[in-house]
Amino acid sequence: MADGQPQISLTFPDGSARHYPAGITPAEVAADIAPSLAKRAISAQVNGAHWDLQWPIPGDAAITLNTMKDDAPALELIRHDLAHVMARAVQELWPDVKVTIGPVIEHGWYYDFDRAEPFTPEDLGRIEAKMREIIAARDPVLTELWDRERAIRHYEQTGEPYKVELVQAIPEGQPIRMYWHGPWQDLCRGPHLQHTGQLPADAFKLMAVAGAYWRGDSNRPMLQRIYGVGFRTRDDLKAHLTMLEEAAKRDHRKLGREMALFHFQEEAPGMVFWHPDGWTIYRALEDYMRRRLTAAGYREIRTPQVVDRKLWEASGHWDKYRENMFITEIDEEHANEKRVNALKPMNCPCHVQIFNQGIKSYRDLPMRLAEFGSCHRYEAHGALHGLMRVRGFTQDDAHIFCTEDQIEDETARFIDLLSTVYRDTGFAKFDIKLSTRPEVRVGSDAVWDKAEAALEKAILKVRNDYEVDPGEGAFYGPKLDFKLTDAIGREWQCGTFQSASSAS
Amino acid sequence: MAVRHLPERFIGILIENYAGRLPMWLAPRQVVVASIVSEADGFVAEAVAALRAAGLRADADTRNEKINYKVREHSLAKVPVILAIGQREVAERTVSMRRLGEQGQEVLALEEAVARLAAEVLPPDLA
Repeated sequence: MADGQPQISLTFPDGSARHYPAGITPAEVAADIAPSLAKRAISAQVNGAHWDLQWPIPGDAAITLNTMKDDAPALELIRHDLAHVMARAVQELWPDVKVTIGPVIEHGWYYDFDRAEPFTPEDLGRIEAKMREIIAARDPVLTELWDRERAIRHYEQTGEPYKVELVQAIPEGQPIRMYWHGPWQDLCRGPHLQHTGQLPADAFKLMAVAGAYWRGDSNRPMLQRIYGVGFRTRDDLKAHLTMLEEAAKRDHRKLGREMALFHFQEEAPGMVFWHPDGWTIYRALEDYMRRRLTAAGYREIRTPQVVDRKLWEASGHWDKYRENMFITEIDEEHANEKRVNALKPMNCPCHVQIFNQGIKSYRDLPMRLAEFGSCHRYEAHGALHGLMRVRGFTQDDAHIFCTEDQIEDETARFIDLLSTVYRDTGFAKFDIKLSTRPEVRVGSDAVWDKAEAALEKAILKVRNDYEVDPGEGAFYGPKLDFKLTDAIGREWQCGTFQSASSAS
Repeated sequence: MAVRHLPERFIGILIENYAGRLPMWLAPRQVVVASIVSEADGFVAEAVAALRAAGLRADADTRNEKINYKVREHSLAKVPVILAIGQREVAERTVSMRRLGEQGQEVLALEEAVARLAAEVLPPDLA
């Protein structure tokens, strides 16, 4: 170490600190600790940020060196490096193919390619084989920062118009990072593994090809998206594939047909035709919910489905949500007046009308209202999925009007009610997520402090653990989301509890 | 404060969680009473009436088909309990009870079967 070179202090997870020259890389730090660690390391966390082993560390920092034993970084890198290795394999097999983007997604990754010929299932097999060759070659991964002009010139020369567009879209002043997996180059934020040999050659699979517009814009070229899944071990991959098979067997759309429970048809997309056996299930569940709600002190109400736009204007839906509402026009008074109505997309504004009529004094609070209300929302055709995502649905919707002091207690009572419902329906495990104040919001910080604290305390009355999703609350209040885990380990977003103390 | 729960979606999740084999209280058809021989039809009707009177969702299957065929069909439809009635059952006023996904069967008096099943189909909040 040269004298006069600025020194930085790196703090390790065990609390110990070491001094190094500024600009040292995590790879060098690992080598300084132990050669075996240098080999096993895959990346680092530097002040919490996921850091490539090759990136210099500019100043004092807390550092953790990651190995394949660290779940989250390991899976992120495996999937991300596999995306690059797949794109390299595709271009080695078909040099004319243009590359675009390839992000990590749940369980794997995808990469979008521009190629005239469609990828066939046989092609996927060839790509997988080529990927294994690249992994076996243990090609080093390298990275450099380039300036914008050089990057654009490079992609113009190599005939990659999509990459030119991506470079141009990077805001001025932001670094442009290039990565190489062996000889193959890609524009990428990183981080990545040390070399392709760190990838498990037997723990990935290419799953499917689908069409996708460049930048999701139907006026731009249609690309081919190849999906892959990647894990740390062959056993993890096998478990995932078994889960998918099991999920296909359990698909409620298939069972709904086989058991004659319900059907859908083109004349009413996303609206359920319930058959006698399906409706029997629905009724059994509704009767049960009604009894539980009644026992918990809720009063059932019923409000209109077709409501004048004036109410939706007042509630803000007309402005913010009109594209998702089914709108009806009717001639009133022998066509002297054209009246515009909308089918309610939620029960909320209607419940407020009842509350406004009924409240006599604060002694009437808390007032708990419930409705099995029929709601309609326009969802894009492609987003519809059996009973899981529909256009016409019921909201088993409850509103609790209460004083600020009652929020905590009412929330705890609700969590208790929902816990009972989940237990009764066979879901032993569910998680609670608290979404806190977003950047754009109404109400003072003091009101938010109080609202968030009330929900937190309410959860803690019922159980010890919950997740926090910072900034994901609605603009008018924090919320709780309930996530169920099913028999094959899948998670399902289920009930929602929305607090609105700052607005109503 | 608002609370939202979507029954349609929840039913979709329930069907997938249970792979269609819903718990008794949610099963659309809880019991099918199937005849083994046509001479049993009268007792099948009596059994169905007794089950319905006890609050069960029960149906008769007196089609002129082999019992194995009936059992297979109702198992595919995920009916949790099948009561088979042949000549011996008629004579002894018993039923042969088969449960979905289980091997073997249990022979018991009709009244006892009704009482036992009536307790099993109670929703969890009433059980």
